[in-house]
Formats: sequence, structure tokens, C-alpha cells
Amino acid sequence: MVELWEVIYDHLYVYIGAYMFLALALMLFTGMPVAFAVGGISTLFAFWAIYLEFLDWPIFYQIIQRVWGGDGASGAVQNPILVAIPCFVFMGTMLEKSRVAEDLLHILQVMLRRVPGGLALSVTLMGTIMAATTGIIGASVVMITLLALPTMLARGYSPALATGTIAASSTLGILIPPSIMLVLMANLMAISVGNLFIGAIIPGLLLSGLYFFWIMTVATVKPSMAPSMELDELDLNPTNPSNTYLFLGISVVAIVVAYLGVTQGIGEDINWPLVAFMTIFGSAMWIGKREGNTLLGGILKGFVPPIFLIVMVLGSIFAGWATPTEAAGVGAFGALLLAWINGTLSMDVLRQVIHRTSLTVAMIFFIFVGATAFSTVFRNVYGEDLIIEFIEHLNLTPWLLLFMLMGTIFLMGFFFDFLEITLIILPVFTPIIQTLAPAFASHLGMEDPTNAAQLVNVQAQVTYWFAILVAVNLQTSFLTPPFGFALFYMKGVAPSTVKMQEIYRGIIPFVLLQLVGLALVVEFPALALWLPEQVFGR
Amino acid sequence: MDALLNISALFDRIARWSGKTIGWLMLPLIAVIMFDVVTRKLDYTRLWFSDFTVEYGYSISTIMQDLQWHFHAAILMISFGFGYLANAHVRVDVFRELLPQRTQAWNEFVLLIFLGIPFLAMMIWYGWDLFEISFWQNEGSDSMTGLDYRWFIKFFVPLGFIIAMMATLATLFRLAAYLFGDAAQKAEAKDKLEIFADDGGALEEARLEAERILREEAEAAARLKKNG
Repeated sequence: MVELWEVIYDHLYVYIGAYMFLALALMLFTGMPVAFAVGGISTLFAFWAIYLEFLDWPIFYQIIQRVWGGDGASGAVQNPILVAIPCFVFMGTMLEKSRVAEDLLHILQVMLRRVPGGLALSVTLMGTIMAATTGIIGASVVMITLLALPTMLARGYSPALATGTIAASSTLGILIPPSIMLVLMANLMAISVGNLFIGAIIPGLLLSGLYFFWIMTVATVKPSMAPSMELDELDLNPTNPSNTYLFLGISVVAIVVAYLGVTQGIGEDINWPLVAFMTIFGSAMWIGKREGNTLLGGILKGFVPPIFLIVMVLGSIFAGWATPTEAAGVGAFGALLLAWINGTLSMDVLRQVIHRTSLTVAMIFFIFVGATAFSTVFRNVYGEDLIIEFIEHLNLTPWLLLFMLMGTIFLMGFFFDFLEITLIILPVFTPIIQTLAPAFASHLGMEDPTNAAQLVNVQAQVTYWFAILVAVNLQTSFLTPPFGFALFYMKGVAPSTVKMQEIYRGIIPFVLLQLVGLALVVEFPALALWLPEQVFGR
Repeated sequence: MDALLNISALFDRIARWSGKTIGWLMLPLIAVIMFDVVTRKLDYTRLWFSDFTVEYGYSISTIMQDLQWHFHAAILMISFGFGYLANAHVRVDVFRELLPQRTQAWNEFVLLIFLGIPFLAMMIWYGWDLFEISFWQNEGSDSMTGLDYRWFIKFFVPLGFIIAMMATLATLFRLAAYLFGDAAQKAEAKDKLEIFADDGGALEEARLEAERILREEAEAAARLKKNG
């Protein structure tokens, strides 16, 4: 009897981590809030491990301390980097509720009316620009579907093309910075947020470029699927040419003054480029208001403000002028300002935005807390070692292993939003990819590391590359039928005349384009690594 | 059973009110970041404020940076409970939405007892330790000139989990009333619960709205054709 107990004890001692993972997988599918499922499983397994005397009660204090953070590492609370998240959420919600997004879509439609498939292209472009701001898959799919799908169907677009475009464009949000997912990823993988943001720009633009190409091809070959808009449907007054000249004049003067100010060293305390930037923005707002409902007025009031905001947020990170947190705060302030200029900033809108923001923040960080509990207990029962041993036992080549990891993440994207995947799974996968890093050095165009410093450098580069790969991969996964996450949200808000089959049919070309994009980033890591190197140096 | 419903109404009110109120800290958070950026990154104002630091011997910027994550901490800890009541937390609904509501309620009831409540209880217990240790040490800021009284913000950790526990208990009691109560209690409980997958009210509303816009646009297009 004693021997049997010893056998069971030994078995559990080795495999408790594996049981923990299994139990988590089962509990997630019960439909409990993920944070409760993850946190509850960790608590129960911690109790069990304490009963078996593997662990002791302070394990819970360790969890709390890791939730708190404060050591510069990955805590949720005392962590200056994560302050960016509430700010980005606030910015996105504000832009949506204050109708800035709506105006942007409208003016893009007007500007692109002569291009084949203009309406679909404007949705892609809006997805690219607004991507910046939402970041939660469900929310951005619902928002863009509501804004764009009715118009597209009314203009006679084929439901398949319309839904495909919307689903693909609205999931760009997790890849194109500033994105909440990239902030979380950088935090968990202990890499720089700014660097990751800049690395994601080229892959993101690559994907939206591929979408553009596809939509224009379809619209040219089969115009019946994407009919173009008649000008008289737009109902615009003619533009006043003197206002156009006024705006151009002010912009040129501002730029020349700024250039002279910088090169001649006049007033060294004054930040001339910023002054010029603000002058141009201010005059755009002023002239836009004077113009009213014309093409120029629409562009100045609808198109310039969001662009201004994105340039401000990304540009300040790019120039090394602000940390991502500061940029996010400035972006949130900018969104408030735009809403005020737009005349839509009422007490009611502000209250809605603030409630929405605290709900989203609660959602993100409650999972964060649960996931921290899980990873702490998992590590303390040697779960990570178990996984590493398992992988060593498989004895795969590094490339095969990379594909296996990507395949796992792809499959998980069918069921989970990026929050669960980045917060629970990524901490498990990152050490694996870091041990593999030297094998990928030559693929990334680096020399094989011979000392510790070089090894750290190679590991960092491989981690950036891997993070971008995961981001593109997840985006593809959210779109892939029959389970794609984005497609269900889409079906939920689309008019009931749109059939699920049409949504599936429409998304397939975009999934293929995504796979092309993913393959390109795998094959040419420079797509993700070149730009950060140019901006920050190595 | 009525007593349980009354308690859950009270807990619900507390959790919702605190979650909604704490959100307003977003505005000072944005203001503080803007202030910090303007006084640190614009040369013109930076010089003026560094004179201030030299003269009075402490740096506003350090305090501002501590304040930023203090606000963030308060917002994220206190809104957990509100998030649960409003069903904002992510769920994996693939299988759950196929179940009838009564099964969903049983599911939630049992799992809250076995997973949710032990988890929150441990977080409250050890969160309190976090606060208490900091309080007896009179912990200050990590940086020399930052904000003092670190225990104050650490108190938000147990507080946040207590509020989340209130929201959880409110839901649990209502589920009990829904599962075991008489008809009136059942109706009241069901009315207040927002956890069910298949009442997707928000999505349904959005869909109806989309259909309305679509109809209007079609009518407008038809009118345009008739006139032109």
C-alpha cells in the first residue's frame, strides 16, 4: 500500500504541471469568465500541491507580488509601461463615440469614389488608420461592421466581398500600432514596446497593401461585385478655391518658418517642428469650419484630424521624443480635443466613454491577474521544465518546432481572443523560442553568437521577429473559417440577409493573402527588423 | 431567499458605483501625463521647471510619474467587480451558448463556488498582507523624491478583490434565487443577471440598427432614382 502511494506521489510530483494544463483547457471551455477559470485552476492546484507538500502557502503571496510588479518586470499594477493601455482604450473609444471614425469613413469614400472598389478600399484604409485605436477584436469588428456594411450593401456590393473586407480590415487593429496586444506582448516578453511598434509597421502596411491589391483586382475584373459611386449621391457644395490656397499658403509658410528656425538656430528653446505641426492642424480646423459641407471642408474636418492624431502618437515614439505611455496619454488627450472640436463632446458621451474604458481595462487586467496566478503556480510545480523536456524529447529541428508553435497558436486563435493567448500561452512559449535563438541567427542575417553579449542580442532580435510572427498568425487565425473569431462577431451584427456561407466565401481570399503575408515575414525577417534598426540603431 | 436578493442588490450597487466612479480617474491621468510631457519634453517649459527643481529641491516630474501608475492601479483594481456584473469579462462561449439558460446558470453557480470564490478569497487574504507589510514598514517611493505612503495605493489591491468578491457573491446569490427560489424570486433574479450567453442583447440591438440603416438607405436610393 505504501509503495502504491509512493508511485502515485512520484507520478504527481513529476506531472502535476501537465494535469494543470489539461484542467485549464477543460475549464476554459465551460464558458466561465476566463479570469475565474484560470485563477481558480491555479488556486485549486496550489491547494493540492500544498497538501502534497510540494509548495507552501507563501506561493499566494508570490502571486500577489507578481501581480503588483514594481521590480521593473511584468507586473500589472506598478508598471509604467502598462499605463499606456487605459490611455489607448480611452483614445479608441473616444474616437468611436465622438463620430470621428464615422466622418473619416465618409470622407474616405468621397476621396476614393473614382477608384474601382472605392468603398471597400476606404474600409481597408479606415481599418489601417483606426487600427491604431481599438485593439480588441470583437469591439473593432462590431464598430466597423455597423459603420460600413449597411452602406456597402445599399450600394450593391456583393455581401461576400463586403463582409470579407470588413472582417480583414478590422482585425488589422491588433497588428498595426499603436495596438494593445503589442503593448502586452512586449511587456510579457521583456522587450521594448517602441521597438515592437515600429517593427510591426511594415508587416501591417504589407498586409493592408495586399488587401488593396486584391480589392482593386476584383473591382476591375468583376465591376458588378463592387459598383462605383455616383457623384450626385454625395450631396456636396463646390469647394471655395480661395480657402484651398489659404490653407496651402499657411502650411507652406509654417514649414518654411520651422525649417529656418531649426537651421538658423533662432529661439533654441522653441520646438519649431511642433509649432509648425500645430499651426497646420489649427488652420485645417479653422478653414474646415469655414468651408462647411464641401470636398475640402470634408477632408480638413474628417481626414486631417485622425491622421494628425496617429502622426502625433507614432511620430513621438518614432522620434524618440516620448515613451509609449506618454504617447498614449497624448493620444487620449488628442482624442478628447478632436471630440471637442467636432462638437460631440457632451457629458453623456464622456460618461459612456469612461464606463466603456473601465470595463475594457477590467477585462484586460482581470485576465492578467488570473494568468499571473497560473504562470506562478505552473512554474513552481516545474511545469515549464516539463514542457521543455517534452520538446527536447520530441527532438525536432528548430524550424519544425517554430512551425509547431505557430500551428498551436493558430489553432488556439479559433477559440480564444488574443488576451488569453498572449497572457497565458506566450509566457510558456517565449523561453522555448529563446533557447532556440542561436539556430535562427544566420536566417536573420546575424553571425552565430560566440559570447554572452552576442547571445543576448541574437535572442532579442529573434524575440522581436517571433512576436511579429505571432501577431500576423493570430490575425489570420481570427479570420479562418469555420471557427474564426472575427466572423462570429460579424455574423452577430450583420443584417439577417447576410448568410454565414457568404461571410465564409468572402473571407477566403483574405485568409490566403494573410498566409502570403505570414510566409513573407517568415522568409524575410528584415520586414520586421529593418525599420527598428534604422530608427533606434542596434 | 429574499434576504439573499436584498444583499445582492446592495453588493451590486456598491460594486457598480465604485467601478463607474473610479473610471473618472482617467481624466486626471490624462492631465498628469500631458503635464509631465509638456514640462519635460518641451524645451521652453522644461527650463522653467528645472529652475524650480533647483530652487525647491524636489522634482515634480518624479511625482508625476509615480502618480500616473497610481491612477492606473486604482482604475484597474476597482473596476474588476463592475466588469463582472456587466459581463464584460472574456468568456469562451463556443459551447456555453448551445446550452439552455438553466444549465448555464447551474454551470456558473457550481464553478463560482469551486473556482471563482477560492481564487478571490486567496487574493484578498494575501493582498491584505501586501498592504499590511507596506503599512508597518511605512514604505515610500522607489525614487528619492517620489510619492510617499506607498501603503495607500497598495490598499487598493485587497479593496479591489473585495469589491470583485461582492460582485461575485451578488451573482451567486441571484443564481441561487434563480435556481431554487419561487416564481417571483426567479423572475427578479433573472431580470438582474447579465451572465447568460444567449440573451446577446447588445448584438441584437446592433443588428436591428444595421437593418434600419440599410432600409433607410435603400429607400433614399429609390427616391433618388425616381426623381432623377
